[in-house]
Amino acid sequence: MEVKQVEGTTAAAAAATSSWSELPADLIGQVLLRLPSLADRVRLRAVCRPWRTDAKRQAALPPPLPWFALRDGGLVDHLGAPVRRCAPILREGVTDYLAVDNLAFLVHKRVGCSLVNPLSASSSAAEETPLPQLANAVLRAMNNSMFYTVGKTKMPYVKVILSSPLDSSPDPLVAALILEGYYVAISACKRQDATGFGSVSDWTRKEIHRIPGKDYRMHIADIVFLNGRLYALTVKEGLYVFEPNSAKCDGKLFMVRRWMRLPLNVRLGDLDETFLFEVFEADLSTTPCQWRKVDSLGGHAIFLGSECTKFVCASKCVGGVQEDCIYFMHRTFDNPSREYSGSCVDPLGDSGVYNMTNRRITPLLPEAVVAKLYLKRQFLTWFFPADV
Amino acid sequence: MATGSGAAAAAADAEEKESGSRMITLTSNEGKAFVVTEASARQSATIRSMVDDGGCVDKGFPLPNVDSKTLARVIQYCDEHGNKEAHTVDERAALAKFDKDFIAELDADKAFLYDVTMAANYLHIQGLFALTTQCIADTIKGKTPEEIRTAFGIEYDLTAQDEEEIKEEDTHA
Repeated sequence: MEVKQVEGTTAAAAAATSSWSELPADLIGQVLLRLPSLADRVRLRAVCRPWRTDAKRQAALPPPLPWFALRDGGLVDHLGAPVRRCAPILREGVTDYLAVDNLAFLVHKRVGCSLVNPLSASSSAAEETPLPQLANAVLRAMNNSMFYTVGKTKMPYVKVILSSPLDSSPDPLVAALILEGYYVAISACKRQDATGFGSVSDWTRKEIHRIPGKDYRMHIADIVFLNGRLYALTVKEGLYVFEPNSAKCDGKLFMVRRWMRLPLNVRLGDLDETFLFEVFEADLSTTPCQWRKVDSLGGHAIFLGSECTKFVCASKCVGGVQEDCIYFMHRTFDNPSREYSGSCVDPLGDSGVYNMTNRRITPLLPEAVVAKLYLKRQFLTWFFPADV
Repeated sequence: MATGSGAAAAAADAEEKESGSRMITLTSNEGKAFVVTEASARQSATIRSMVDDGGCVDKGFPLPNVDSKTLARVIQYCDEHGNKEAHTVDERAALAKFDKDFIAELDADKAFLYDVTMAANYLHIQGLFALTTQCIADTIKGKTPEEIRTAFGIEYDLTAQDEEEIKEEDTHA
């Protein structure tokens, strides 16, 4: 064998004294990419100073695996482990709440409302963002309607969304689907102007992108912000747009059609079983726009829930968020009697992970985790912790 | 494919590699030469680009950042993935089994895992790099910072201020 002597005894010595704390920054980044759980990312950053410094310098990572929000405001992670929280979400004067991405939307007595970050360590009234304009719009909507009254309608809010993160600039817009989905209220988060409410039929009619099919009662299934515009999807698959600011639109808008079967003689909402999803992308370049069926989500995944829906980048790692998958948990109707007196309640409702590539549905969570969640005796919703 | 030069051919004899493929010499930082098939060497994007650029194939490639023990182990991986086919289900299963055993051994010797990870990074061996970084990530998963430090033999060097920040960040404490 040919043996060449190269300058290298010093290099050999250096290589021999390997030290994990000196792992190069780009390798730290590669390891972080393979940690889909926020708890693991946080712990890696708490190992030693070099890892901590390098990990902080990494470019944005794919969002971590989402958590689950309980009705009492408790949070559990994807393994069913409780998440520490400093201030209880449900407290004096707060009657209900909705998970909004990484925030909690608190509903106060009557229709008052505010946003709070449940994970912020010094969670106090000072950290709360009150939304008096939104509450006003909801009040006016109730006064205008024949069916809803302030005293009798306990929880007017169905779903709440923000146009951009709360601390972003310019001031983000907050929109709420209210009154069982027949009205939408909108306001600025901090400014005192720009507020409104209405059913979609009141919206800037000339700008309506309409899918063929009539929406007599304008029952809205979902709302979403895209580039400053607010879109509403009706249960008849009509798409309406509301433009508080006219920004150039270059994003994508998807509609998910969910097919489910339920046994004969069973109430809708009790034993629903989703067996197929169809995903459509809105072609916004035409008027009226058209839904185009798509076979993939282009490296993304969708989290579907009754209140909180999110389109995220897939993690591209083992155990992380898988691309072209729809993670769903859903309950058509809340059935409190079953929840409180029934023998058991599936905390995830009709749930699973639908893979668009092979059209298979796999369980959303391992059996052991679901067993833990069963003890909570309530239906859960998604909560998306922010990785900072 | 053209047969290699005298030096490489002689080395090929020494290593008893199968003929019919060009042989390439890789030299560790201790000066020890390893002769591998071109297919094996091409697992490394670094060497692949040097070969394709018409680099000094005959003279071999000195690798000043890799010691002999590490290089031998890296070559073991490259041989398996470079010289074997992976067309059938059985062949792919055999490779997956190899990877599993390969990483299990490194997992048990974290200092060696570090060296192999650094070499895979330096030589741009994509599959091996993915395998080792995944192993590092799997070691971290579900552990407390203290357990991670123990697993990798890392010394505690955080300041009181770091600890304060960490307490704020930790969601599960």
